[in-house]
Amino acid sequence: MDALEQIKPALYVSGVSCQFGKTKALDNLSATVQAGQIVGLLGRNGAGKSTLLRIISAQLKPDAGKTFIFGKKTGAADALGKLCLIGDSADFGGLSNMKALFYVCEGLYPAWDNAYAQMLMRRFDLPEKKKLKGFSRGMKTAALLITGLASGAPLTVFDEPSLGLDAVMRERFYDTLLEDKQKNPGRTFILSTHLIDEVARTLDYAILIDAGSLLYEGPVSDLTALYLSISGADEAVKHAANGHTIMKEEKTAGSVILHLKLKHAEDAGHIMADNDIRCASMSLQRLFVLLVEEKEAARCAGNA
Amino acid sequence: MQGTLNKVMGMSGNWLALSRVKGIARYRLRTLSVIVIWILAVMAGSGMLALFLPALFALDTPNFNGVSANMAVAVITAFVCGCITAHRHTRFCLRPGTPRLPVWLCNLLTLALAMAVILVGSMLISASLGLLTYQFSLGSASFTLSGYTSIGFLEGSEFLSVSLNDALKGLPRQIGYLTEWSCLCYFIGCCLRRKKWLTLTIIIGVPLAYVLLMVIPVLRRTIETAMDGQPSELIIMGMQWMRWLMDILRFIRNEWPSVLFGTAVISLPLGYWCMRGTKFP
Repeated sequence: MDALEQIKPALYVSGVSCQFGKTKALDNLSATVQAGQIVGLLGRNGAGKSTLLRIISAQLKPDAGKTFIFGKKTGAADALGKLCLIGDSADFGGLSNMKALFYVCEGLYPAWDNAYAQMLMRRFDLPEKKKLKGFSRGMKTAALLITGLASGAPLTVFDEPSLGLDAVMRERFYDTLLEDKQKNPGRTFILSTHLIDEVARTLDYAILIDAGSLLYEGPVSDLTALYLSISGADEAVKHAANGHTIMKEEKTAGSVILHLKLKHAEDAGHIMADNDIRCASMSLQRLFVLLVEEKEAARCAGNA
Repeated sequence: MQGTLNKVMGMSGNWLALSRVKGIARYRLRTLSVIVIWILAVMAGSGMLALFLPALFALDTPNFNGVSANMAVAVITAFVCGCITAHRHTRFCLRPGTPRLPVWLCNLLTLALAMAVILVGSMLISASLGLLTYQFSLGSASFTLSGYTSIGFLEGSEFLSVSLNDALKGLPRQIGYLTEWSCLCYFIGCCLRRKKWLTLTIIIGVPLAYVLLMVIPVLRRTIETAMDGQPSELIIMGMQWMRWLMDILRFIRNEWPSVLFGTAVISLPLGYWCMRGTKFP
């Protein structure tokens, strides 16, 4: 890690607010991403993910708040030079083919790895000399992902990385991401997506946002350890849930399913030891949905 | 790759490396070169057609009028390229998270460079056409070279060499003008990107309003005088018109270089200011 050990957070967002007309895209959002992680910026459509990424990449000025990349204020070359943002729009600026794109990227990114880019091009089955205009949506997305991976940027951000990609290519991308992470432990990746379950296996850290505000920020392991789904007979399940927050209750034929927020992560062991109930850890997507529903219920209660 | 990562982290403070100037320049030269090559090819093709078609169909005797750089085409191209630069090229460069200053700087430099290439290229095409006409004139009376140069009316090879010399002498000044035009065109492109209709209204509306306000009263007076049927007054009015037009032409001839230079200098910071505050999706 050398110098990377002493570096500041890869991304620090403090009290960022942004409004478009009457719509609040971001509302006093704060988050910190330490270097060397794969981070999921997760939220529903219109939650404010892309707005946040546009602010980070200095394409948009926030109404309030500040963002820092490796300790440097966003907007300065020192900060932006360490960032590579791969947006969801497949715009190659009129460049003809992959060869031309790589030629430009080699100049854009100081740590560009051409051999790695060539290897990825073969891995994603992309032709080197075919016109980029003739690429399908999936191929265009793959081309963008290759530029992000081969950029070598210390902070690489992918906005909706799976747009148009088929299942095989998506999995190939996540595998490549994990491989890259192993080779470069200091590199930070942010994946912004609403397809939560799909990226869940790659993530170390999650930032969940909804309607422009933060729902949760922390390691994925901490998050999943605190939430549990239990099912079984009504009485046994209710007894096990005693002292914990019931986020949702579902009734099926003869049994009850409770989605719980545990008081302490260690409590999961006690509940699992009970033979009368079945326990399952919650998927990140399920958890996200529950958190959103909880927030909406709180908002409705507040309005009432 | 871990090594390269450390290298990037250690680049803090190295503006040239982190500002992506090299990549932006590569991108701009790659995209602009396509436009430049197309324009030069069209100019060469149209020049050849203008030279050979009349001779081929025995319509006229083609006469080569001298070597010159095509400033009009270069200025129009500067405007079109300025707009493309301010829109599409800037959006592409900013998208990965590039600071605006190097994008602005590279945009201007590469635009001016591409326009200079068009100017020099058009002069080379003109010189080549002149040489071709001279070669044909040796074997056929259908092709001629003649015209006025800095040392008077000349013909044949003498005319070709003197007009080439004249064109070369004027080239640095023309490149200077074109650079000024490029700055102005890029600024207009930035304004069009930000506020299209307001910019169009100002560009078209202000000169139009100025001309109308100047011309309409004079026209009305002319019509009234013509209706009154006093020929002496009409002659005086015509002379006033001529004087007025001459004054305008004199002003343009004498002051235009300073006006253009001043406008270009002002448009530089304004262009950056406009581009810096523009949202890019």
